[in-house]
Amino acid sequence: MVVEQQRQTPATREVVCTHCERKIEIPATAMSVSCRHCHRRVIIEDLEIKTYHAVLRIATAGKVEVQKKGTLVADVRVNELTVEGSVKGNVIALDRVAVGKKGAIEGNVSCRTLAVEPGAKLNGHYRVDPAFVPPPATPREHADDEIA
Amino acid sequence: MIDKTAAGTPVEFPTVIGADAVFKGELHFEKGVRVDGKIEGKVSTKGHIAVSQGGHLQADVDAGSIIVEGDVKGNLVAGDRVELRKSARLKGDITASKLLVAEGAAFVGHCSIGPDAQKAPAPPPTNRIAEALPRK
Ligand SMILES: [Zn+2]
Repeated sequence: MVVEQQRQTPATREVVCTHCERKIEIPATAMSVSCRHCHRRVIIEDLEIKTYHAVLRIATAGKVEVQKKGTLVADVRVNELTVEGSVKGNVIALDRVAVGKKGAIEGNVSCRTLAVEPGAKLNGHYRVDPAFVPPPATPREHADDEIA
Repeated sequence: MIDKTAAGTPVEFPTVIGADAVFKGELHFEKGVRVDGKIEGKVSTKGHIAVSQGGHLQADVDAGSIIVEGDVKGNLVAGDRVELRKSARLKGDITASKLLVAEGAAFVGHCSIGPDAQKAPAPPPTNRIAEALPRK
């Protein structure tokens, strides 16, 4: 596919759908779009976790940053994850996972690159592969059990 | 350079397993060892162990610290830190108080990292092949 040269800053960019893992072109400033392949809503926004946050799944084609006082209890599907606080759940990052010196991840992690600062705590199964292609998220109904 | 930690601290390797050397068995070193060749079995040292690019380890490793630039299949236990450099390929579990992973490194296995991740110190190995090793 030939990408047209844009005279100004590009008005669109490419992200990967967090549900079907296919590429979608989106307006550069979009916060969420409907995937043209699987027609599901894809969140593009970067998220900051500053306090305690427990959900079943958190998915964005952008970044998630878990800050020092943040605790994220969720399965995470992101482009990039930065952890200065703590994460409890399984992580799939299309690109990079970075864990700061006071960061902790309790759960399994799959990503292309991993950066860990001395002092970080990790516990789980890791798959770090520069050629990693995430499996499409399994379509599921709202799960019955909620994370406390 | 494999002769330096990521922090730039020089590391000395009194023992070097040459590129054409293959060792099978249980190896114990008192100080640092650099593996340019191949080791199958078990390796332990209080010092650093470094697996150079092109080096192969098919071994469980217990060391003060471990630097990997080559291929490793086995479980790594380090008292201090494990460093996976960009050319590193590791299949195995890591237990260490610190972990450093460079962009490009590939790794599959369980990770237990943190000050509490220390396992009980392994019993001293009985078989001291290291003493019979030629020094370069
Ligand atoms: Zn989709």
